[in-house]
Amino acid sequence: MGDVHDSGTRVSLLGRLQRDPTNESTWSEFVDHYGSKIYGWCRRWRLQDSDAQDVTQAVLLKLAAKMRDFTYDPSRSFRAWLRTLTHHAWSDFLEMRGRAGLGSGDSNVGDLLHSVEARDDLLRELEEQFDHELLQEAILRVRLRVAPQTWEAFRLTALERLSGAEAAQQIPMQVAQVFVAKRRVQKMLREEIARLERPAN
Amino acid sequence: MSRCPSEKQLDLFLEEQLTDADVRSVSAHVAVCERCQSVLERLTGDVETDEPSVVLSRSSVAAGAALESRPSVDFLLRLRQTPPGALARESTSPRHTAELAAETPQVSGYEIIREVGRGGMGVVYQARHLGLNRLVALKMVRTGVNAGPKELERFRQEAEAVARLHHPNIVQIYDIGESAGRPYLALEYVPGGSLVQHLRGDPQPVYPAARLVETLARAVHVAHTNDIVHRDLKPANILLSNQELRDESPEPSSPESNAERPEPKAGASNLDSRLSALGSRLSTPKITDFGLAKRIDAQTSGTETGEVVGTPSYMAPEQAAGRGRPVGPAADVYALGAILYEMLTGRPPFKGPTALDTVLQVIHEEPVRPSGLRPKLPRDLETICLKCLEKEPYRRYSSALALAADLARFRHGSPIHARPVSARERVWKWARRRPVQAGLLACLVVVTVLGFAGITWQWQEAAAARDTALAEKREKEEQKEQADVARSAAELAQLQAAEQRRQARVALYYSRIAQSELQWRVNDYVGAEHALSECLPTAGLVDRRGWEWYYLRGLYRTYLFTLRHRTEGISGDVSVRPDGRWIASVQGGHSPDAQGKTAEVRIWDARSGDVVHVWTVPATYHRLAFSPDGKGLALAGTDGTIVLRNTETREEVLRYRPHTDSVAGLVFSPDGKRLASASWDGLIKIRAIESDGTRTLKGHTGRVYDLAFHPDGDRVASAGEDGTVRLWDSHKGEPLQVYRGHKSAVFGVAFSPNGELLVSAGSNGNLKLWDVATGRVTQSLTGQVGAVLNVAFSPDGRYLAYGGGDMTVRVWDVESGVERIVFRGHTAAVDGVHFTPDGQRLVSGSAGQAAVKVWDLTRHPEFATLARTGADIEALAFAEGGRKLVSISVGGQLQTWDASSGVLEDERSLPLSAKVLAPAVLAAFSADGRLLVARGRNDSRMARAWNVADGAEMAVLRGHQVPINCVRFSSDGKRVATGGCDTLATGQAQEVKVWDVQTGTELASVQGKGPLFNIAFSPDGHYLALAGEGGLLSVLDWSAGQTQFQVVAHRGDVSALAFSPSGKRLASAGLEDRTVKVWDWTAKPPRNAPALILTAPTFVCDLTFNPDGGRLAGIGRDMTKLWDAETGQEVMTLRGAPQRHYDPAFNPRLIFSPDGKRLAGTNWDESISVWEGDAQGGPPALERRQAARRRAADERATFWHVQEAEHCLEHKNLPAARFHLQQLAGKELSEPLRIRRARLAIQLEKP
Repeated sequence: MGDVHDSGTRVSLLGRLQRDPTNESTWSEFVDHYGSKIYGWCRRWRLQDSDAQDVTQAVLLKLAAKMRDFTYDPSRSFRAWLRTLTHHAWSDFLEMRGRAGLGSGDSNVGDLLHSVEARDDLLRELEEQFDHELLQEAILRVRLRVAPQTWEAFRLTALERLSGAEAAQQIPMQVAQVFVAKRRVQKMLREEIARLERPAN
Repeated sequence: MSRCPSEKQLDLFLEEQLTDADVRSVSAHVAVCERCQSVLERLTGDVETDEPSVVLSRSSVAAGAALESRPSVDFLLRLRQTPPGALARESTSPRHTAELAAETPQVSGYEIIREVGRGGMGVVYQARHLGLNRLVALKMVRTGVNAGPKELERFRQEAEAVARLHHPNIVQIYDIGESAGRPYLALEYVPGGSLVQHLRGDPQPVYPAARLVETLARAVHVAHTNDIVHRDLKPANILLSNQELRDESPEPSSPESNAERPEPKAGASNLDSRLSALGSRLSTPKITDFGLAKRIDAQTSGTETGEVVGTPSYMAPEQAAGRGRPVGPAADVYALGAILYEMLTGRPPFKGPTALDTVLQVIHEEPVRPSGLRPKLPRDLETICLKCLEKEPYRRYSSALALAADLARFRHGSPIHARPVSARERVWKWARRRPVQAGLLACLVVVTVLGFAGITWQWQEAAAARDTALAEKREKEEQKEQADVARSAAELAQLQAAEQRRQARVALYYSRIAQSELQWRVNDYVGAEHALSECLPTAGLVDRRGWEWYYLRGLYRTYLFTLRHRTEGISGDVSVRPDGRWIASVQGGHSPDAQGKTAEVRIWDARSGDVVHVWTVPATYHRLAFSPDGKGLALAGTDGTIVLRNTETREEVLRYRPHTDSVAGLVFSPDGKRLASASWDGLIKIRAIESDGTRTLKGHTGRVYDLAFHPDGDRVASAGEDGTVRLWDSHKGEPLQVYRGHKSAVFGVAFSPNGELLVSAGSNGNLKLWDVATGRVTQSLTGQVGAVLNVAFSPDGRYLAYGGGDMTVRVWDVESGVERIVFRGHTAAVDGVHFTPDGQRLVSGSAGQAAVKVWDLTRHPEFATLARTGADIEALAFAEGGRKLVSISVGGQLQTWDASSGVLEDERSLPLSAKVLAPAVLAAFSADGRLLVARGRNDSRMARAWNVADGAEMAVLRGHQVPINCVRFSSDGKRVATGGCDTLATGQAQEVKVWDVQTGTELASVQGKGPLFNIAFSPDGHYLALAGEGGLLSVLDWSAGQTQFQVVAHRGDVSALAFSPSGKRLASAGLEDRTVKVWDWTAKPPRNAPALILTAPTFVCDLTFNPDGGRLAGIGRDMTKLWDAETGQEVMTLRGAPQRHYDPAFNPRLIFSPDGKRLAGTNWDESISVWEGDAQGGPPALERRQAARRRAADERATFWHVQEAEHCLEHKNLPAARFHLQQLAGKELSEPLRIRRARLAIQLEKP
C-alpha cells in the first residue's frame, strides 16, 4: 500500500503549470489558490472590488506568462524561482498598466501599487500560499506515518491548542508523552517540509 | 524525582535521548509538576525555525477582520474559465457592473446609513433609529417584488410573533412597519458578520463548535416552545457579535489555563501559530430571520434575482422534497446538525454542483461521516451530529433541547444518549433509498424550483400524486429485500449443522496450535512437540495443517546440530577448542562412590558434527577445559582429581588431586602455563603446569563454584556458596577485592574480553555485571527462572550467554541490558555454554539430556532478518520462486536478498532522477519480483516500469490528470493499475487506469469521485478493488467501467486490500476500527455483510493471503497476525523486531513467497523479517533442512561479520568492530562486501 495521501500535487502546482500552461484543471487550481491571495492583497492595498478583480486577473496572467520565460533551475530552491517570477511579472504588470492607462481614475491607487512595499507584500502573499500548500502536504504525509495516538497528541496540542495536560486526559496518555509526541510530529513536519521544499538532486 | 529536571534535560527528554530510567523518572515527575509542564509547553511551542515554509500567514489571521479581502466566488469562477493559453489578450477587463443601489428609500423615524446586504427579495440597510439613537438593521422587501395584501398580512403576523421572543441568542425584532407600501423590519444590528464568513470552509475546533451549536439549539428550543419554527437555519442566518470566544477544552479543565495560552503572533515565523491559524475564531451567535425565510431572503452571500432562493444544503429531507409533510421543529434540529457538520468538517453535509444535485443528495444519500473528513473526531460528537441528520424526523432528537443536552454531555465528557448507527444499518438505509427512476428526477426538478420559489396548488397536487407512486414503489422494494433476507436466513440454517461440526474440528486444531506455542514459550519443549503431533491428521479426516504447523515445527528445530552422548550424566561441561575446530563435552558428575559407572568425553568436529574422539573416563568427571594452544584438554571430577591430556597424542600429561571435594571450576591461564581449579572444599588452587608449584587461595566460606582468569592473567575471579565474588592476585595468591551483592550462592563468573567487566550469575537467576576497576555493579539482570549454572561472554564482548535450570540458553545484549534471544530445545538443565571463537555460534550442553546443541547466533531462532536496509521499505516481493527477496526503499534503493541466508546480494539505485520536487517513491513489484512500477518523482501523475534484473526501463505510463497514489501489478505481471485522486481540487476527481506494461498503452481509464486510498487487482486481472472515502470499498470491472460490488466496509479509512487467490473473496483492513473483514463480493444475491470479521491490531497496513488461500496475514506497526481465512480464527502473532520504543516512520509490508513457505514482513527498525514455515516431510527431510540451514549460516557468516562490524563502529564499540573485521581476514568476499570491508578497515585505523 502506498502512502495514501502521498500526492505531491499542490506542492508542484506551479511546476505543473509551468510544464503545461494550457491545462485547464491546473489553471483552475492555480486561480483558486493564488487568485484569492492576490485579490486579498489588492484589497489590503485599498483597491476597490472592481480594480482588485482587474489587478488579480492581470497578475495571474502575468505570472502564467512568466513561467514560460523563466525555466525552473533545479539547483535552486523553488521559492527563489517564485520570487524571480513575481519580480518580472510585477514589472511587466506595471508597465502594461502605465501603457493602457488603467487605473487612471484613481492615481492614488496607482501610486500605492508602484511602491516597493506593495510588491514585497505581494511576494510575501504568494510565498505564504506556497508555504501553506507545503504545510498541508506535509501534514497529509506525516499523519499516516505516526501511530494514531501520537498524531492525536499533536493535533490536540498544536492544532486545537489544548494544553499537554488536557490532551493527555483525552487520549489518554501520560502528560510527558504528549509533549514527546508533539515534538516528534513537529520534527517530522519540518523534515517533510524541508524535503518538499528543496529540490532533490 | 522530586526536584525539577533542568530545561536541558527536558529538551533531551523531548528528543528521546534520555535513558529508559531517566525517561521514567522525568515522566513521573512531569505528570504532577505544572511548572515542568509549562516548560514543556514552551519547548514544544513557538519554536523559531529556519524553515521559511512554516511562516504564519498574516492574511489568514487578518482575514477574520477584513472579510471583504476574499473575492467573490463568481469572480473566481470567471477567472477559472479564462483560458490561460490566451495570454495575448492582455487584460480583458471583466469588470462586473453591479446593480447599483440607487434606490435608497426613506423610512420615517430612521436614518439610513448604508446598504449592507441584498438578496432575492429583500434588501438590508444599516440605519439609525432617530428617537432612540440606536443602530438597527432595516430589512425591506425590494421594490418590484409583488406581494399581495394577504401575504403581507401573514408576514406581519409572524413577525409580530417573533418580535415577542426575547433571547440573547436570537436577533431581536424591534419594530415592524410599512413605508411607501413596502413592509420593513427593524432588527437588532449585529456587527460581526455571519457564521459563513467565520467558517471560511475550515474545520473548527471541536469543543467551541459543540458549544456554539449547543447555544443555538437552546435558543431554537425557546422559539419552538413559542410555536415558532425557523425552517431556514443555516450559517448565513447565524450572526456573530464581535466578542471573541475563547478556544476552550472540555469543561473539567479550568478556563484560566486557556486564557494564558498565547495568541498566535502575527508574522511570527513559527509552526504552531501557523497551525492554529487553520482553525478560526468564533463569537456569540445570534439567530436571525426566524420564520421569515420563505418570504424574504436577505442573506448576505449573493443570491441573484430569479435564482433558486436559498441553499438546500441545510434543509431537512422532508423540507427539501416538499413531500407535503409538516415541516416542524425536527427540520430545525436537522439544520442544527448540518451546521455542526459544517463546523466540524469545513463543508455542509451535502453540496452538489447545483441546487438540484444537492437536493438529490439530501433526499437520497447518507452524509459522509464527519470522521471520514476529519479523522480522530470524537466519536460521540459524530454520533450526535449524525443523529440530527437522520432522514426520518422521528429518528432525530425529539427536541432542540435534547440536542443541546447531549452536546452538553459530550462537552462534559459524560456518556451521550445518542447511539451510533452501525455500518450495517447504514448500508441498509442507503440501499433502501437508492434513486429509483428517471421520472423521479423530473419530479424533483419541479419540486426544487417550485418548492423554493413559492407554493402553488398545482404543485401540491403533483407532489401528492408523486408521493403515492413513490411510496408504493418503496414498499415493493422493501418487501423484496425482506424476502431476500428471509431466504438467505433459511439457507444459512441448512448449512449450520454441517458447519458446526466442521468448525469444532477447526477449533480443536487451532487450540492445539496455540497450546503448542504456549508450551514452547514456557520452555516445555516436550509438551510443545506433543501438542504439535496431535495435529497430525487421523484417518478419514481432513488434514488441517497449514503454514503455522510447519513454522512451529521448524521453530522447535532451530539449532544447527544436536550432538549426543550415550548416557546421561548428573552434570557436565562443554568447551570449544580455541581454533574453533573441535567441540568437547563431558557428562558425568557422579559421586566418587558410584561403583562401576563410566562417563564419556566426546570430541566432535565443529563443522561437520562428526565424532572425532571418544574417551571413556570415570563417571566422576564433569568439568573440562581446552588449553589456549588447543593441545591440552584438562578434566576434573567430583573426587577432586584433575587430569591433563594431550589431544593430539592422546597421552595423559598430568594427573594430580589438589582438592578433597568436587572440582566445580577449571580454567587455564591465558598463557596456558597455569591451571586453576575451584572446589567444594572451599579452596582455589593455581598450579604451574611445568614447574609443579601451587598457590592456594583461601577466603570463601563454603564451596567455591566457579573461577575465571582475567585476560591479563594476573588476576583471577571466583564465585562461591557464600554469595561473594572475589578477585585475587593470581601470582601471589592474595585477595584483592570482595564483591558483595548477590543474595544467594553464585554459580558462575566470567570476564569480558577486554577485562573491564565481570559477570557473576546467581543461583536465583540473577546476573550482575561489575565494573572491575571500581567494583561497582553496573547492571543487574534477571531473566531466567531458576538457577544460572554457567555464563559466558561473547568474543566481541557484546553479548552474555547463560544457561541453567529453566532449560533455555539466553543471550543478553550487554550494552542495553535487553534479552536478545532465547534458544529453546534442551529438555533438561543447561550446565555448560560456550561461544565459538568466531562469535557465530553458541554451544550448550545438558548432561541430564545427554546432548550438546549448537546454536546459530547470526540468525534469530524465530525468523531470518534481512537487516539494515537503510531506509523505509516501500515494497517487497519474492523472486526466483521464493529464493530471493527484492525490496525497494522510499529513497529508490533496490535491494536483492537471498531469502534463506538473508545475505544482501545486490544493491542499487533506480534511475528515479528527481528534477523538481521529489515526493517519496511509491512503488510495487510484480508477483514474480521481476518487474517494478514506480510513480515518477518529478511528476506524480506519471509512472514508470522497470525490469528489476537489469534496471532497464520498460514503459512510461503517462496520462493521469491527477496525482497517482497507488500502483499495483496484475498477478500475471502483464498489467499495471494506477489510481489517483485530487482531494483538494473542487471536483474530488478520482481516476483509475489500467495499462499494458509491455507497451505502456493505456487500456482503460475509469473516473470517479472522492479520495482513493488503495487499489488491488483480482487474480484473474478482470477486476480492481478500490478503497475510497469513509471506508467505502468497491470492486470495479475495469474494462467495462462498471462497479460490481460496493459496500461501506469500515469505520474510517480502508488501509489495506487483498484478493484471495481464487479471487472470490476480498479482505479489507480498517485503518482505525481494529478489524479486518473478508467479503464474498461475488455472492449472488449480493451480500453487504462481510463473510468474516477479524479482530486486528490497529493500523493494519498490508494484507496478504497465502497461495492456497487458507491463511490471511496482516501486518501492523507492531505485529503481524495470521488468521484462518475460512473461519476467521486467529492463528498466530508474529513479531519481527524488538519492541519499538519510539514511533518511526515506516511502511508495514507483508508478503508470502509463491510456494507459501515463507512470509516476509518489514519492521520499524528498517529490517525485514522472514518467517519460514518449511519444516515439511519426515526425519530425512528434516535432516536435509537442517543441513540447508547450516549452509545458509555459513553463507551468512561473512555478511554477518561485516554488518556487525559496521554496527559496532556506528555505536563506537571499536574493539568489537575490530573483532568482527578480523574474522573476515582471509575470507572470500563478494565485491560489495570487499568494498565495505575496506571502508571499515580505513575507519577503524583512524585514531
